[in-house]
Amino acid sequence: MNRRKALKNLSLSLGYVVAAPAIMNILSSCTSKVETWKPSFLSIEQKNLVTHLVDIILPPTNIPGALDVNVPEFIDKMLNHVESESSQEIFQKGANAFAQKFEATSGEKASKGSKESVQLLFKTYFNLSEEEIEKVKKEQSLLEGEVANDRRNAYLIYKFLFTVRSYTLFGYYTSEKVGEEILSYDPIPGRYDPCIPLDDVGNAWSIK
Amino acid sequence: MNENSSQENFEQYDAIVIGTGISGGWAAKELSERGLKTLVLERGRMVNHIKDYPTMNMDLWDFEHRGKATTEDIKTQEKQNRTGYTINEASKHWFVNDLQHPYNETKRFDWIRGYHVGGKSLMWARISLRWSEMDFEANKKDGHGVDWPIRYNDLKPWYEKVEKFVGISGKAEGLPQLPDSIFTPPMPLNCVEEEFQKGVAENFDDRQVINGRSANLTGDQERVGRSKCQFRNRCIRGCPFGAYFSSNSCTLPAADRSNNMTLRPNSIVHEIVYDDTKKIATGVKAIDAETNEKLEFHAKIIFCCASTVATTSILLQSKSERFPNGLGNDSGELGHNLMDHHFKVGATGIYEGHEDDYYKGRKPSGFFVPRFRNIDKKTKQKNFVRGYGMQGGASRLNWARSIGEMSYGAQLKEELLKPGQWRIGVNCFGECLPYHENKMSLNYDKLDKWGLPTVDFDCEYKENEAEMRKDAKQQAVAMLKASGFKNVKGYENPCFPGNGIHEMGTARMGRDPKTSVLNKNNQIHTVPNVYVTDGSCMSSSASQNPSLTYMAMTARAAHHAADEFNKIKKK
Repeated sequence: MNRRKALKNLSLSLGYVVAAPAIMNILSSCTSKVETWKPSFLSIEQKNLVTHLVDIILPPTNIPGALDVNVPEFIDKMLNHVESESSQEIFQKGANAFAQKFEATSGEKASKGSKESVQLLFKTYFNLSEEEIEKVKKEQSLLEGEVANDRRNAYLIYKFLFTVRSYTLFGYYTSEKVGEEILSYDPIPGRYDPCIPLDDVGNAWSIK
Repeated sequence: MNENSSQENFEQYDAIVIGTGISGGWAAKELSERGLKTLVLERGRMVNHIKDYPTMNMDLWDFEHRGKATTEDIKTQEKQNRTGYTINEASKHWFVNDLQHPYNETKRFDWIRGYHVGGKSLMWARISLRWSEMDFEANKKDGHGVDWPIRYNDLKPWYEKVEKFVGISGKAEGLPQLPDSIFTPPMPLNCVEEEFQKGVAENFDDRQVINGRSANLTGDQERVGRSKCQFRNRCIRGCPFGAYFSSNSCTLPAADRSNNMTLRPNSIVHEIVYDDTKKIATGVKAIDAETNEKLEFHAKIIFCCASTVATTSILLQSKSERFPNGLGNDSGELGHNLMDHHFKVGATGIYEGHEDDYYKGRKPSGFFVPRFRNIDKKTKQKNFVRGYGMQGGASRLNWARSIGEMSYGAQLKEELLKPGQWRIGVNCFGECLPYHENKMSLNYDKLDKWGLPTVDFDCEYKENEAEMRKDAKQQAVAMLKASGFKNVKGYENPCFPGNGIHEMGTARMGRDPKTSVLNKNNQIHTVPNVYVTDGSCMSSSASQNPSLTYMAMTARAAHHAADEFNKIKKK
């Protein structure tokens, strides 16, 4: 059954107050396959790493994950068309530094490396204490030239990882599937209720 | 709509209206409804209501880059992108291509504009506020600029007239500094906006938080071709419901129903023709934007509604033996006293609580804090004259709250499906004084692709605006803190003239022809059959959003013109 149609039918039969995740459980059997695609900005190595990272950042559960809504392809397009030349350059540097680190630590090729190995490396960067997190955030607010030489590589890798993470969120929560079927979708509200119980809505409104 | 596309030179009309924005639409409507055969010239392309709103029903995922401007877009619309909200996939087509329409900046000026039928009435923020008695008296009282030749009572019946037609949602408050309009029902404040309202009421006796006042239809009154706001908040794209006021949805269709209007898009007016012997203007010269054909149209009355900068540019280009420095420019003030509202100063905060409350619908309006500085002896400030209002809204944060954080995984995914904390934002809009040296002029060394001079801007905010901004930030912070908001952060971001898109002045009204361009009826002092009723006529800027005042001023001037026209006709 077409998942979207199934959902729309269900919404109709259940009415306005519907907890989306519950429906998704019923429908989790009809997840679509991720398309194969050719990157326009990312290298083959970067494509593989970004695909795993996206999957680690927003994995599938009883509701779709980032790969189910083609986030890697979206990231490739945004980097190519929306990011400025200077941030493209920073991204490339960071992605390549991450790839090198990946090959050195896992012994696998970046173009074929497994999700598990990528996750191992990613954790070394993102599983940090509160204190370390604050340090990283502070460092990320600097320009590349302002970073000490021995921190340069880590700084660029973080730039890369933060870019992938923010575009993963952006691509996921503004995708058609999530926007229409998982978040609360109401293209023509028709009226304004200034203060109603959150339970009457369920998930957050899909943004305009 | 009667679209005149075949050119017959020297066509004769009763009136010509230059421009189709918020002022031009009103001039077209009032003049044609009074029986004048009216030619409406628009430099940009045709935009038919609904039919030509390509993005009006698109969801974010329907756009190739989920709404974001591409680097290519930004290259062609670099200056139009300076607002941060205009150039995106939903609305970029309403703003000019900066490469095709260059201008020059002796000092930075963000000239944000659209060349199409409807002008900025399609993209405006719809906030509709009357000016008050104290705004029209301000120049006289503190000596900045020249005295307005009109007072609030001159404009009051015209505010009423336009409000009945436009439909302004809001709530009557009885405040002297912000007279009530004739309202349709207000858009309610949400629970956290109400907390702010309550907090300010409890902690300050000199100011209040009120419902936003905006030109979005509410209530059950019927209006031709329009229905009420559906709370989509996609106004900037053009509204398929005709729920907000624009020339395209309201005034131009009304003018069309009179059967007296001819609308001609793609007509770049560059000169008003002055007859030295008759001592009146006889018509306008224009260029067809598509064919480059030279055009001339004649009329008894000319209404300049091309926008502040464009109108004054046309007047400056209209040189004759009598007026070597531009039409009606005996005073030398034409192009001077350029103003805009300064903003991008205020505060944000988080509300802890109301976690189980939410809203339905996307409100195209928020709250407003009417001016509370320098409105009487008690509120007089040492460091600045005039004042500012505050605009803002509260909403629950979305998934983007997590950008810049380092969490990941299934739990993050679930968590971001839920709305985040309540956040409130307050943005202050302040009055800018009329400074003679803040000006625009023409550059004949740099011509545009039609061989017309480009505009040079030399304008800056000064001490009074800077002092006002300091106070505005402090007050916004104090009001949020007193109302119980947490993590309150004041901000004051760089703000350049033009960015408020409330550019005003450059052909000001006044009592004395020696120091002003226009008289109390918006006529050029020395060329009474030319009326200027867009932002260029303003003698001061007040702190209120100006569109409603342009509408009232235009309707008033149009009826004056129609009266004069009928008098001559009867003779």
